[in-house]
Amino acid sequence: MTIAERKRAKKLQSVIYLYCKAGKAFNGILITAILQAAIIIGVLVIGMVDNKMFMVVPIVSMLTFLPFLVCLIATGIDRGLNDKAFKETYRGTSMTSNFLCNLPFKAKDVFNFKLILWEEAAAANVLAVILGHVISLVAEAHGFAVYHGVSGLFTLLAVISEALLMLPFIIKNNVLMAVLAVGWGIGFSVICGFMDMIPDASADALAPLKIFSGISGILIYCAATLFIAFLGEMYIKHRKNVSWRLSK
Amino acid sequence: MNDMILKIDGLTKSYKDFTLDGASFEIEPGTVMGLIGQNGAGKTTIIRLIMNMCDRSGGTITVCGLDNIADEIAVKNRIGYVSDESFFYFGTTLARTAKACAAAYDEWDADKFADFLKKWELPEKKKVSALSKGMQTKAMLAVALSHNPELLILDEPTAGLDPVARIEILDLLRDFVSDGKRSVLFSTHITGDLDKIADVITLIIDGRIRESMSIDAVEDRYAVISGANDKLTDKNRSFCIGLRELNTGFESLILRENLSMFEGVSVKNPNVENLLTFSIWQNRKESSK
Repeated sequence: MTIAERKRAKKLQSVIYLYCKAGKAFNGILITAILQAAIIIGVLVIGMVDNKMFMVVPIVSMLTFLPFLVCLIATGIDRGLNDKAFKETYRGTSMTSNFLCNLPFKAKDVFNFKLILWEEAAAANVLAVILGHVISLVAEAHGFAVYHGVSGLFTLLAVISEALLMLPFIIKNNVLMAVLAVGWGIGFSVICGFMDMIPDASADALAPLKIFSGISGILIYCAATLFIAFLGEMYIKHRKNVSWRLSK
Repeated sequence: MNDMILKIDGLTKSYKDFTLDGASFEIEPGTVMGLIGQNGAGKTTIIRLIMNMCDRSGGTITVCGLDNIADEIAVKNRIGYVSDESFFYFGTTLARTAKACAAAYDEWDADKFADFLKKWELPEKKKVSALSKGMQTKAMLAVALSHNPELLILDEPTAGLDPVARIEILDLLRDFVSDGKRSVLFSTHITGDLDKIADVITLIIDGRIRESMSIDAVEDRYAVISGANDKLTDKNRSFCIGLRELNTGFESLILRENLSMFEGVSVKNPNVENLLTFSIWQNRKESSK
């Protein structure tokens, strides 16, 4: 996506936000982010009381999934950027197509608008993962057993690498870097999940819960990976600049 | 001659059961063009193609010298469009719509839009779903006129409006082109409106442009004759365009140059409706052969 295309898509984004309920997509992402923050705080408070801080990691993982879900619902599942894409896109934005066609935007701007929504969801996801891990590391430093042993080090590495990979996205709007950052974070987190599970399975009374938390974390990361693959696929198809028009 | 506001050349669009066949016409600055034809003739297809709502199979469309696809954004900034159905999202208000338009158009004039709302007593804060059809049409016109377009495209805009509103809108269109720089493309079934304001008439039948001429040229070129059936002979019958025969007499459109073929008939100037209806009847006759 060129800078000019991105600018037009951003302009369209504000138009759609002002004009109709497609603006709910942005509201949705915002609300889920607030919800995430509230739940993380809740888990931390409960965890501090009962020393169940290990729950933070999978819960954070689970919650970071939400922006993707919101984005998916808001923009519609639009896998096929093919001949029908023009019509589908117009429909997918919940705008009256006549109004949208009337405005000074190209059909391609609408695709770019959708892509930007996904990028924002990806960014929200990565930032939430980073936030969750930072909170966990701070808690760990204050004596709470969020991670176990070496997994804390891995998590720290994950946070640093994610943050580094996110920089190009933030500075240059490079969506591929955002995808890489999410994938990188997932890889590290899966390792952390395993490390959290294995050492405690024998002696700890909370072991079953920890195992559940580890497995759920891994499953959710796997599902998130599929979403990221979807985002990547959408991006690649977008780059190919396939036919934007309904009828040839 | 000034540059054309709209120039359509060899425009083709094929659907399964309909083909727009090489449509060509031009709109000069300062004119109102009436686009007439029966339902399904291709009027809305032409408008959709101008607005780049569907792909053309062939031909070119230029608006103010700009290609409507290559320069889509610049072209749409120059076009004010009113569709036959309300294009508003029913869950929103006109105030929010105006904000959206302000963000989209390069030259959105918020004061002008507010003036239109006031003039037509359109409630700014009410949901669009609560507005009548006539109010929605007026609101679309307000949107179309508030970003200073050079070409106004109207697809059946006066249908569903009360007579006062219709006349007010026609006056507004006349004012719109009065500076000689802007033009209107007006597709309608209400041909009486075109008699009042159109400078040029473009007739489309079954996807083909049959005529594109000034309203004065219609009167110069054609005449409507009527008379007793015995005035029709085998010889002069072939000069009739869309002959309408009743027990009480006949009526037909003819070329003025053929008037001498008919004796003892009444002659009157044709209006837009005459041109449309007789041309359609003639087309049916030719198609059935």
